[in-house]
Amino acid sequence: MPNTIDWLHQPYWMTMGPLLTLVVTAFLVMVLELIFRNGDRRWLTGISMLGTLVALGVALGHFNAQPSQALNTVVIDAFSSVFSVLILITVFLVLLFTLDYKGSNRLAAEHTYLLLFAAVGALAMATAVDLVTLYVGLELLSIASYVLVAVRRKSTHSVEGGIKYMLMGALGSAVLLYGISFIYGISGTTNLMSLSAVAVTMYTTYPAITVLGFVLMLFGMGFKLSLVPFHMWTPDAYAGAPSAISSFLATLSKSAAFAMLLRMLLFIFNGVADKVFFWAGILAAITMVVGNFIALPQRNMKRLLAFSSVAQAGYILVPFALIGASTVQDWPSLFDSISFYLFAYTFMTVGAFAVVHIVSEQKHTLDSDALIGLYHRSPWLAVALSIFMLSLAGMPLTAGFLGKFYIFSNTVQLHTPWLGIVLFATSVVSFYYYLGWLRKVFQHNPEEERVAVPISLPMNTLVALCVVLTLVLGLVPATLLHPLLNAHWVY
Amino acid sequence: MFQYWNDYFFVVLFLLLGIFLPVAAIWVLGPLLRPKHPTVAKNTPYESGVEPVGDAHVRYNARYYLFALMFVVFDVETLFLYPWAASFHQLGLFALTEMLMFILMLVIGLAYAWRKKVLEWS
Repeated sequence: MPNTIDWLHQPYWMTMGPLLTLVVTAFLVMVLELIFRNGDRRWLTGISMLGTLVALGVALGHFNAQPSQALNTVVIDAFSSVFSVLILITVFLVLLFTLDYKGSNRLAAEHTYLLLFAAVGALAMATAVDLVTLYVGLELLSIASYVLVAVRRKSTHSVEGGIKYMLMGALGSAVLLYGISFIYGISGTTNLMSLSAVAVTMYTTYPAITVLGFVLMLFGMGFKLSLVPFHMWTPDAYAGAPSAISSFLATLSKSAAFAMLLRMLLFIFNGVADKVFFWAGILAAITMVVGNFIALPQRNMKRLLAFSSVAQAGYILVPFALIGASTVQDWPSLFDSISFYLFAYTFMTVGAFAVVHIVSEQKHTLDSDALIGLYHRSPWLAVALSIFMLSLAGMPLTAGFLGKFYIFSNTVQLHTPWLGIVLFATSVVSFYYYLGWLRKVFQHNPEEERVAVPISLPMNTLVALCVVLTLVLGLVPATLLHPLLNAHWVY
Repeated sequence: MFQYWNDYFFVVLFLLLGIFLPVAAIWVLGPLLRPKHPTVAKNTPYESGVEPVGDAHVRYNARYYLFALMFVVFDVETLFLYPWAASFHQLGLFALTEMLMFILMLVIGLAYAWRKKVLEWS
């Protein structure tokens, strides 16, 4: 039994620093929300953003720190630091996004701390090394997300999206747990460290069950990542939710799910990667093809972004699938590709959702025709949207291009060029719908009266932040690549 | 390996028995053995000996779910508090702090329900 002085000075308080900061902030905001019932309560979001920044500071402090662990469940290593930083930056951007909802348009006050609780779950998914803790983190993120999608409870679309998301999410969790139960059944442990030690024995004794466990876990996470064929909920949930929440689902949920997928499957199956990871390659190929082709006929802006996010998840799954064709020496470069693409994807997606939100608020429609003549109404938004779209499509000189380039070069290096070719070919398809928006933006519309688009201060800040970050990653990738290359991914 | 599948053999056996027994009893043996003289009174659903009123497909008030939710919160609380109280001496200050944090979170939950008027029925 630890005595008082001992447990107060344990290093694990520091290890769990970002997590605990967010938990405390979330409960504080919750209590404050109960006490102050009236008036404009957006200052609560301000407190949440402050708490997120503090957590971000702590997480940045962990960068390149000595690997450490707390209670055998939460660790600090390069992997957890990179993903924690990404998750906390995303939460900050999404909170900034929600500041735009005010007056008659405001969201239920719960969204502030639900976002924080979701972020706590996401951090747990990035830092935990125990299957049970990982799963609890996933559920915390998921349940908060279901409520967040349905946060406008008077809107039928919002509630419909929330219920669809909840049903599909519950199915995904069930599949994931079923897979975990097989792995636990043949290994007798839920700790990832112990599991990685018995992986080879596990495979040689029960090859079929090990592969089944892998596939079920991959499919279960596939629901959360909206990989094809588990993507059916995506367009409805994204279109029904308020734009800020859609951007949250597209970025934060995905980064956290990728962190968990990587950590979980890599630790458990590292010894037998070449036997099981080709399943992820097949899923990645299907996702890229179907996601890009379904996006082609979409007219609803948020549904298009939803399918685009499906396709983008397919791109990020490619380096993950390549683990099967690689040796431990190649892993750092694969992790670099995955995390670089996730960072780039986060900034351009949040930015795109922000612009879509501003435009649809002015025009009161989500139809992409609302974009016609945007250049004449607001040159600044038009240029920003162009940068996001070109980056999502993968135009050279943008962050998206570099991300795809790194992934492509991985496929060539690891002698799996067919995945690279699928990535390249489907990217070409995606140019059609991304540039289709740009055509509308710069189209001249003489009947349109030139009413300037009203942009609030938080939205201006958010769009500017996303533009700057996308450009920085595209023009000076070393700012992010340097710390990534120096990270001790494998220890 | 053999031992492993052996265990599953029993699962399958129980599964098959579980399907076979009710099917045999209800659809095969029952009709063969029982006399069949249906009347109107015999065919009405049993409702504690009272004449059945209305439809079985009624819609429940959504508030019951909120109460059930609140109940679960406190049910789980007792579930944790009893074993902790029983071994309080061995666990000491660390467990006390943990328990206080746990109860604090539940209190915040209760305060939330109270402020959001979940506890009012009107």
